[in-house]
Amino acid sequence: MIALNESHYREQAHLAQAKQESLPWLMTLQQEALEQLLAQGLPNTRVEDWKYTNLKPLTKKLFTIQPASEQLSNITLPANAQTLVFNNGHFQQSLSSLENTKSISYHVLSQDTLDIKPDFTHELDDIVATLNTALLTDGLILTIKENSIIDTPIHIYHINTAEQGMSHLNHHIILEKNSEATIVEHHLGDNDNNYLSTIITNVHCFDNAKLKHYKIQCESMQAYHLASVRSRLRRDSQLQQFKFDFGSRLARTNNSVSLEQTGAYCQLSGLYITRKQQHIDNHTMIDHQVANTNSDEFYKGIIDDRSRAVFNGSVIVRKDAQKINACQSNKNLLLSEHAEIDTKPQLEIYADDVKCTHGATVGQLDEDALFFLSTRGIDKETARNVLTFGFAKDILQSISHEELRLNLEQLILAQLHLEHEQQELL
Amino acid sequence: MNENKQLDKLLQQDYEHGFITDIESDTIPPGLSEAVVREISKRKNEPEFMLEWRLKAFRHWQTMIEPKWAHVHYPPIDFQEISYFSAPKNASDGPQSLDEIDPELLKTYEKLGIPLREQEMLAGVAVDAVFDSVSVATTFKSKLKEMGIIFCSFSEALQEHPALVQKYLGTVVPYTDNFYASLNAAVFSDGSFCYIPEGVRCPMELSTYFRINAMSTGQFERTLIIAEPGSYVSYLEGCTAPMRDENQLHAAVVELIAFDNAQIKYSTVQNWYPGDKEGKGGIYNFVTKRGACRGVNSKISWTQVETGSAITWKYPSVILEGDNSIGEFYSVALTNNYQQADTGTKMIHLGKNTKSTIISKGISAGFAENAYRGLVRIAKSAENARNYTQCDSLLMGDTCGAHTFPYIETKNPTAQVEHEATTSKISEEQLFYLQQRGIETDDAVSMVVNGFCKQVMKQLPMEFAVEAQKLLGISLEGSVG
Repeated sequence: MIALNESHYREQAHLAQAKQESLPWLMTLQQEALEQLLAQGLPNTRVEDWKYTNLKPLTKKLFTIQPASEQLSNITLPANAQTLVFNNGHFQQSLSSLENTKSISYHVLSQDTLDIKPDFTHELDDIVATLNTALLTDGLILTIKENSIIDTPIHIYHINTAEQGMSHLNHHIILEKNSEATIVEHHLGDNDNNYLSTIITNVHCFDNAKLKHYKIQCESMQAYHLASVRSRLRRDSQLQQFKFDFGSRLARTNNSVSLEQTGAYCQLSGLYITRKQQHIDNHTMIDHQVANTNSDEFYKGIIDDRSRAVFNGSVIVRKDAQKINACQSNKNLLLSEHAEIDTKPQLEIYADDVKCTHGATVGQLDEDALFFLSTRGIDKETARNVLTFGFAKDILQSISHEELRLNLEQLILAQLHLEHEQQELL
Repeated sequence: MNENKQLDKLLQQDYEHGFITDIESDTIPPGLSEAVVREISKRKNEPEFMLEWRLKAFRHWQTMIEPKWAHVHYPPIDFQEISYFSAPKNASDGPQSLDEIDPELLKTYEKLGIPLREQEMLAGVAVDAVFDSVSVATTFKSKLKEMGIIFCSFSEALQEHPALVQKYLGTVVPYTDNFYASLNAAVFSDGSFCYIPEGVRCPMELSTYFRINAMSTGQFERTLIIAEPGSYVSYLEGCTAPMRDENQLHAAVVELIAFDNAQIKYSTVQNWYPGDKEGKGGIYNFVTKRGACRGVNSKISWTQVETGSAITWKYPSVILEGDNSIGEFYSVALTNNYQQADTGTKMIHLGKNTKSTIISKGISAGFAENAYRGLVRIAKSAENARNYTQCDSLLMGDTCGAHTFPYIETKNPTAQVEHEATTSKISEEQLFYLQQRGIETDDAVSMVVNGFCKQVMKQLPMEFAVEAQKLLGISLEGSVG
């Protein structure tokens, strides 16, 4: 284990707890989490789950909880959109445009009274959650009411502007029966700031609910980003999740989906493009708990420079969970001789009437395809760009929301340093 | 359902090779200490370096803890309960020919159908039969000697070729490698040694039959095969064990070394006692097998059919050091009743243009757990490395489990690595297709299972393929008209 600076973290936790004074149950939980965190420390690379990701650099700096900044100069929020904004881990009412209506209601942990108690039962299960809970700065409880269909996406912005700051958020997104919504989580940071951001997103889809959940991680290239996404799907509900990793010095996401009742379906799509010294780690777990549940998972990665990417995708089919279709694939493009990819797709199956497949590939651009393009008079560099962009763009295909898709295309181009070629590529 | 009947028939089949041969064994009392290690070495009249090595291994082993990461469950093993040496009593006199061998032993082999006497010429197999821990007979030796091939028991190699053993022992699997490899290094009783000189193509399949006997004797063999430049050898290993109610520990180590342009083909059929239908008894098979492709264009190929043992824990691996070297792994693992298998391979690519192929087929029935665990590592130096992995699992019944844990680590952008895995049961469509062609359900199931394993079975040497198919317990080829 990696020990943490005890006095520093006690002090910070004390600061964090002071904010939740109106929620005594939460303060108790935070204290419990703090004790557990200090006793356990952070896992080292001898722990199987953290084999490829070293958290040691996190302890080299003492991050502190900092107030929201006066102005967010570098970031322009979209006009005419439903937004919720968190800055340095604190909710910013003045910047948020989402309103409580008949079909949407939201509460923020740090604000006034809370008439519902969100489910915090799993917050001590993994180390990211323990760390997050101990130092919790704020959180959101967003409910889409029964039978409501929300057409316009709800954007949740997480903006970190403080050097050496840290933010710890815990969100609950609840889709009641027959509701539909699109929720976009943005993670942004001032470039080259070094900070720690942890975030837990709990998603609950009740019967027949449909959620499109986007998570676009564009933290500063020096940031540490630790996230946990837990989705629970009830009868006939559907989750479409799109996860993009572009920023962070070190990012780790524990992404789990429990298919708890029949007819539940999830589709996880992911794309990570890593450069420089980035280290991006995605752990996904799809748990088929009952019969007649299906899942598709499709992650792609482009790894360049001295960066390293880790993918660990596990699919579990429980005993008696028959009639399961589960499909998983992870494809990686390794562009530099100093880059590294560690992928581990795994299946754990305890039922027999199932069709489960997984595949993983690591390779470079197809020589034949490059040759084909050069016979058409396209120079080598453009040809490489076309193919690389095409590889990444694949993941956007199932995004039906036009505006979102176009924005993501721009982000991919920027990440690949191809902004100037966009005329040719799009 | 007919399909179920066929499965039930397969599932209920009793272990055919279960019987105990009544021979007095010269056994060291249970327990493990430095004195026991010294005693084993002394009884075997080993050279000094061997004892030193064993002691170093033993001291290292004492600092290690039993690994827990495998997907298997078993009660803790008390290493002080195990007897670490057992030799058939008559063996100490050293039999000169087959006639001097205990007839009881020969009967055992006959029951197993091992071609040792009359069959030896017909089968064209040189058998180094290990009965418990000491090699009893080695055949075809003179013929191999003419060609300069050394094929003998490990003890014999230590007496006659100590320099060779000293040079290569532990260079692929060091005594510090893992818990069971260290234990083996400290207490190994015997095994096989094989040396193929430069440019020689071994004219016959070399084969060792292992058999565990004598109560509570863990068997710790060690096999070392060295293929000098330009040589070729195909080595077979087959196992059966008598019925017993007690779990027996088996921790073998196999080391293969292939130099420039050399090829080693290592095939295993493992059919140790898997325990009864309630999961009682059975062998614990914790094996470390590793090959090193030291030279350019060298090739090591592992083929295994694993049907026995209560717990199988084994990852035959290849370290591809030489440029253009090739590693292959073909495996069928069948688990039934309460058997557990956690098996797979490791392919470590270091040299340029190295290639590896992994084909793994797991079949799980009853209450069994079958896991594939594999590592493909492409080091920075491995330009143009290529790997293809396919691991398929077939589930029979809803109480068994099939799991896949592949680790893929790539540090070179010119590498191409592919992994694919599927898990399914025999599909209704496949059965329906065959049935509508007039094929009985039973036969259709056999055909599908046969087809499922064929890719691996065809890698086995002819003699072995027959036994392996029999072991799979489903009549295959013959039943299809």
